[in-house]
Amino acid sequence: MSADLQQIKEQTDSRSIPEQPNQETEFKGTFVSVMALGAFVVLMWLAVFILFIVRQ
Amino acid sequence: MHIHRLEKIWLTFGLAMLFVFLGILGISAFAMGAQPPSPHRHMIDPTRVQETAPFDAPGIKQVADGEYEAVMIAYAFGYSPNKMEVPAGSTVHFTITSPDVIHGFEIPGTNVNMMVIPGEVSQISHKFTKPGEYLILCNEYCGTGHEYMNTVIVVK
Repeated sequence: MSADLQQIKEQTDSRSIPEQPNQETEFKGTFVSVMALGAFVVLMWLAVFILFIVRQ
Repeated sequence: MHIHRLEKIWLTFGLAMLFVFLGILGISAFAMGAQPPSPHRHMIDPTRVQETAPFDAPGIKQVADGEYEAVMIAYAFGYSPNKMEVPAGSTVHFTITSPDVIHGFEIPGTNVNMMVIPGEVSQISHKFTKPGEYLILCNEYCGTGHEYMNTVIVVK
């Protein structure tokens, strides 16, 4: 019984280890989305700021 | 704590953006004197506007070369004085208050846009470089005649 548990534990551990290098690829989509949102915010801010300066 | 490389990049980007925005705001406020139209505590009794100087004689007058001061009252539903004229290239300092409810003061196409609050004196300046007829209108709903509330400043 304890041998089974040990085996399950080992399998769980070994399953979680290969997931680590995958995080690099998992973050790429998030990174692109965050940067796209950031670029949108910067462009909108600049557009409003330039409009404000031009109308001064 | 482990922070992923990409997370570090976007956290740095976000923080830098915040500092740049706040920095520009801080420089324009503290070094260049940008301020909201009612930053000072300039109180007036709203029930005695017509007897209180300078609002006992609303109008526009020249205060310096190329500078005018427009003393105005925003009331339901209009502005006093009703029509103003300045030469092109003049800077007009608007000083305005309300004897009744909250009104708006906007000149479309310019940065002039402020609230006129009873008991407060709002001030804003604008340089009119191009000749034309500039509409001044109320953009705060003030009652049934709100849409008729306007005046003009003619720049020649």
